[in-house]
Amino acid sequence: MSEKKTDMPAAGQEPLLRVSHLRVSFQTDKALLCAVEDVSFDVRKGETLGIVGESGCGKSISCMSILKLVQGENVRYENGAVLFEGEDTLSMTDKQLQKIRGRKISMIFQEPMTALNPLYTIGDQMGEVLKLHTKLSKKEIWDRCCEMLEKVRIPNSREIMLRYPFNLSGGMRQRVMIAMALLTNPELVIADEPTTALDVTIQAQVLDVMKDLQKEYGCSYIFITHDLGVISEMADRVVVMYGGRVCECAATDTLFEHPYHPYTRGLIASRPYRGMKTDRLPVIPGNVPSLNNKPAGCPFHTRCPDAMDCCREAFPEETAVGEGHTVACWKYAKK
Amino acid sequence: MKHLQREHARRKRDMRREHARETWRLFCKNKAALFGLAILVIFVLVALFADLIVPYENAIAQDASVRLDGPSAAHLFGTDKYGRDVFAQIVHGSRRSLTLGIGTTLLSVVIGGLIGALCGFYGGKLDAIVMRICDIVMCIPALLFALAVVAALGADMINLIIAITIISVPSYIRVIRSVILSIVEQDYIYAARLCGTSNWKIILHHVLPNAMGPIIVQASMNVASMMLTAAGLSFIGMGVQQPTPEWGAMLNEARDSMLDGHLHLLLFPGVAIALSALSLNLVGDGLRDALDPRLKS
Amino acid sequence: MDKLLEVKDLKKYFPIKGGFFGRTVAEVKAVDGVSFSIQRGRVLGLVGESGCGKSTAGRVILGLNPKTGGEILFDGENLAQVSKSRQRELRRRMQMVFQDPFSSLDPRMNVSEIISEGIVAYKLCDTRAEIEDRVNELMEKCGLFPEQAYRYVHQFSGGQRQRICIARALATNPDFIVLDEAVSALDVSIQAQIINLLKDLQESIGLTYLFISHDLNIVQFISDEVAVMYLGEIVEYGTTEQIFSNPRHPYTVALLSAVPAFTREEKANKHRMILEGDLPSPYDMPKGCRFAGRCPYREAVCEEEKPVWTDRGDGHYCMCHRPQL
Repeated sequence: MSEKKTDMPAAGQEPLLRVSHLRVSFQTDKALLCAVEDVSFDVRKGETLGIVGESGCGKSISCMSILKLVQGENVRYENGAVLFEGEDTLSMTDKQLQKIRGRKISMIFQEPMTALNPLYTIGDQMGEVLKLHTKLSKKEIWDRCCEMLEKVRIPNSREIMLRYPFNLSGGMRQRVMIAMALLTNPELVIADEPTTALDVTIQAQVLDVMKDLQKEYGCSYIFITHDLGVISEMADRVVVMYGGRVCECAATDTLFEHPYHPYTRGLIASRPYRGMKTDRLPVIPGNVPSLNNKPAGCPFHTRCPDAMDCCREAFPEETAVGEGHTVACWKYAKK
Repeated sequence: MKHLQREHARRKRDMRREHARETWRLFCKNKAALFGLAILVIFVLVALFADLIVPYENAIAQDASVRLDGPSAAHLFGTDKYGRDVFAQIVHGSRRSLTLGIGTTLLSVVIGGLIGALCGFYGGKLDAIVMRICDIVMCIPALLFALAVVAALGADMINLIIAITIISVPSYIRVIRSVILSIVEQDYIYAARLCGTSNWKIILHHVLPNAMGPIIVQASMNVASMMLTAAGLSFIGMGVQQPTPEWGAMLNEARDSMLDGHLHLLLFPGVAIALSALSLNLVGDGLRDALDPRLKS
Repeated sequence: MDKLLEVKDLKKYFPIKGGFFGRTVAEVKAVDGVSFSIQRGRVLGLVGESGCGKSTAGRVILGLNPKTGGEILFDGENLAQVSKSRQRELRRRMQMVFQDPFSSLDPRMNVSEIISEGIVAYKLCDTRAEIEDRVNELMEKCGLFPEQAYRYVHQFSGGQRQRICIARALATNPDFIVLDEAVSALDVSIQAQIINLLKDLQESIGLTYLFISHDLNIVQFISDEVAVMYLGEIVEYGTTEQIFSNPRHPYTVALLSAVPAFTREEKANKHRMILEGDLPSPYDMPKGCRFAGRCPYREAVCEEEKPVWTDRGDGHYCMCHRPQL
């Protein structure tokens, strides 16, 4: 894990992707529900950024917004910018976005069965991606697809190309999705809970494949998950989200060893580990707030053991507490 | 302790009341459903107080002097080829037409619902046999089958309802069975079994309430076609007997006169059938949504 | 010792129907000869990957699916041999909490109706008021507020729903509860709350759990004994300490090593054993050891002969040809 950091670019370099002050809401007939309040993060070239949080924290919606994939009449991109290679994707037209989607930024979803069309063979679906984005001949496309399938360690790829998604197991399908996502050699791959539906031994295979491919192609990953263990294995840096906001951001090992934000601390502490001495798990009390009754101020204050008066009133500014380590909590705010 | 219990009962009553209010509020939010309900209420009132609106005499009395007249002050909707007042026929026909449409639908829902629920819940041999019978019944042309039933039992209102119910029940059984097959696989059915709840209670308390949505939709869409089947039977003399007014029969009779340009004969019974069917559809949709607790906040 | 539940050679085969007359053309052996027992007041963790038959085993034990073969003894009585009314009484004492707190609660019922269902069906209370008191008591015990009793379940979050499910399971005064992935669908911060609740209840009421899960961290926290299942068979059984510190079966080793490392220390100590390939198709099982196809230590004998279930000392059982492992 630590040797991976050596080829990480210097912090001063322009990031590959910069999301700043993103705010996304949904208009319902009753109210405007804010799913993402104010989210900012960077993804550097060749790194894996982990985004961790519970259901409804806005992690998926923030990342889908990068490609404006959250669409519909009731979606409002209220504020913020998403700079990818210096251009704002939020202000792009659909046509401009098409050129980026699947070519420079691709996605891997949680449920490979629903992301693959059951009526087409694996080969057809993979070929389609290349046909859209490159000028390769049929033969070249075929060879490239086979080569990619072998890279994700699918044996006898030529045969698999002719199969339909339902012929494959869950782990195989997810590896096909990964192969598809990396076909066009994208700069950034957004992986939304890619291993949540898989078994642990299959998850280990898939994570392994993803790491190897990153080494080979040098792409960046945004890895969205609720599983702290997976984040800890995969990510170089981690963003912790709660209630549509970023509460802490740090390098992985720093975050897990010295968490600052009470939410991050609670999350890490509540995870059972081998050789645990206590009889009961330390818990974060209360429930995850739903979109329509989000508390004012810091969304975590209703569950926070260290809540103060100011927490109920306003959301704290981000404060730097260490090298590349920021936290948004009144406890550490500079008075 | 007493006080606590009273407190509890009060809270429960409040919750019930709030629940009913919420259901009504949800229903009212659906403007189309409210519109449908208004029309339906008008139709039902007309059927109930038909005699007060226009005497039954007008609907059957023939008057050769005013044959095939268009709408006028004396005859609001005009007259038919025997000189009978169309308005009076519509008003008095509403009784039979609504009874036929709604009665057969209710009967089919209850019978089809129970058989479908049993088939879906128990499966096995019972299911296989019932499904084959349904296939056979559905293969026979509906009108022909109803004709046979009416011919065997005699042509009157009750037999007509029986005949139409028999032909429509198989499609209900199929729809309800497929809905129920998906419900019985839900974990809450297993949980109810673990709680020691008997099978028939599970069907009544868990399975059928959750199958209500699709059943209501199917039923409200079927009312109109029931009326039309009844009309078809009346047309060939196997349904409601002339001169008893009935919308479907009126529609069929109007077909000869239509070619001569007497469109009003077709228009008014047609609109009456369409409006009543539409209103039931709208009310059905509204009910389905209002009764679904998941949509309440 | 006091065995509350004993399962002997339990089998559950699902027929695959095919052909014009719906004949049985093949069988999926979801549970194929599983035996274990649970002492009163203990927690047995049943781990394995999806499709290994762990959930099916739980459902068959509770009678939600009929068994194909084997015996289930509850509190010393064979469930298949007692009278109908006795069986009903024994079934009352066995309950279950399901994985998905959304599909396991009837959306058309309020909380009070859901929790009281078992009380009413088994006639555990006489009057309406008693039932309501009992519901309130159960709700409080499970961390819910009695004033929520007449709300519908869609108004609750996943964690609260799972609390309702637990309250429902407790309503019939059970001794034994099958927890089928009971915390897997919950958020991380809620998982810990529910696990603590389950532990509290176990100690205060003296419950016995069969804890079915794929999450090894949680299993090792909550279980006293652990059984590892692979393709319908238990391949290893022992105390939590034995299984997690000294795994004998190569599949258990692989399973443990697949758990993502968390701290820097764990990452450093870890040696990964990544299994090749996927689970074999349940239609045609290998004739020898079922794990042979993916096992890094396989030998010729593994593909030919089925390994036997042997004691490796101190009640630590394992089914593998390699004696020293």
